[in-house]
Amino acid sequence: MAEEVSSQMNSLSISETNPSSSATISLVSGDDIVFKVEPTIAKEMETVQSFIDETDGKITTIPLPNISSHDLPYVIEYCEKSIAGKITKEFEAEFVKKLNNEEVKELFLAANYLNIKKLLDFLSQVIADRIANKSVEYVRRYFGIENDFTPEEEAKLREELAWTFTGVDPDDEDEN
Amino acid sequence: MSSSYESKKAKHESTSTNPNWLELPRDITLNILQRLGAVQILMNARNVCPDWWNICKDPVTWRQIHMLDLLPYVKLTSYGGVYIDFLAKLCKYAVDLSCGHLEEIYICEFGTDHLLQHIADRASNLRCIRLYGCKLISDEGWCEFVKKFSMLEEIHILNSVLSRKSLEVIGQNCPLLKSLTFNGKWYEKPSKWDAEASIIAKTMPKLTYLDIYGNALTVVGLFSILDACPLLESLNIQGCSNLKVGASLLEILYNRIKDLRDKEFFSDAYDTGYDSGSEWVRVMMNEYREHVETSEDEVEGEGEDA
Repeated sequence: MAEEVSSQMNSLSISETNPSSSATISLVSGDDIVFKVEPTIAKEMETVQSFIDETDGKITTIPLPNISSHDLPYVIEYCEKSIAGKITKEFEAEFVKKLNNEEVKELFLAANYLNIKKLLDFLSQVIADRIANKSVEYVRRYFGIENDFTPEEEAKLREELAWTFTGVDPDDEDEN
Repeated sequence: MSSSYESKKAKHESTSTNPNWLELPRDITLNILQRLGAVQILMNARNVCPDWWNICKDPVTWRQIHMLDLLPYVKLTSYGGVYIDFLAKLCKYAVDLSCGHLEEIYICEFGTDHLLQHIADRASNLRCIRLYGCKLISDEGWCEFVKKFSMLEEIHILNSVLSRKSLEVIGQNCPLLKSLTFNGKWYEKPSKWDAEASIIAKTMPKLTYLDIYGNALTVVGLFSILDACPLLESLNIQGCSNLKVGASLLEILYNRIKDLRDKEFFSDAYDTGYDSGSEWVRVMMNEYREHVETSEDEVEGEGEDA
């Protein structure tokens, strides 16, 4: 009798971890908050999905040390909309309105890490829009990039710009 | 709730380290940079750091050259020829950087016959060209150009002064053409457009996309195109005032064409979204103007750095 129960329980637990079943996936953020998501959401995140596939679906708790509990809900929200086919211009506009520059960058890195192509493309556009028509110094500050051109390189760069400004086209110059 | 969110956010911001963007794979960075368009890559982005400079030197970066949405520059038209000259130079420079990898180029008002010639000599892999408002490009210049490109699949010419002759040469030289926008001289002076329609019908059987808004197309012309282009999925005939489209004809059209356009292409992108107050553009153009003026005044004044 006792044996039967335990074997039943075994089959139960096996069916739960079967990859084709709809067991939820637990995503653990870098600050140890657990987010339970449907397997369809995990499918959108290539990095997570390949992890699940590699372990034949036996492991359903996935640590994402690079992603904070602040960013993960945004990623999940985007994936949910994507699965539902509800990524519209309006949704994207609303979505991005909530995000400051820092958050956009972090989500971008998260999308890159999780390998979510659509989100990555979308955020690439968002970032491009935010640095469009801004000065070099602004762009450096935005990305936290140091100006590490050597003096020689700086000189070359100026030369190159002068090239652009004057134009060495024999057709254009020396005529007037 | 809100206070816990705030504190979490504050903590989050204080603990977040600056991600190092330079460690991102090159194609990820390129994905962002390419969205800026050629002018901003050349004038700005490549000067950010050596890594970006190198990315921007890579011919692969210049498979596409997009110089279409240049409203900040267009607004500076008080410089007239200076502006055209400047953008044409940047464009040539970008074409040179592509080292023959160029596949797609978008050009606005600054396009000239001379620039087309420059592209024709250096971009044998070109598949797609889009010209917007290039009134300085003549039929002769265009025909010369297109004769060198039998592989073109997409040609979009909007707000041009090109005539039937240019359309004819496209038909003769581009057997792979899938996508065509042709909006030329007749926009100002409407005349019958059946001959043009017949050129399309006879020489462009592979079209899936056709945008010929604002011409004098008649029903006869329209049906000759529909008969000859079985793959046509998308059609813009808005503003073709000679077309008397009754309910029955409209039904036929809607059944036949998946995407019947009733909105002018490009108007959206052109009217909105550009920050006219962009300071660096103004500064840059001023610099350029000064440069031109001083180099006209005193040719030897080399010693002074900008």
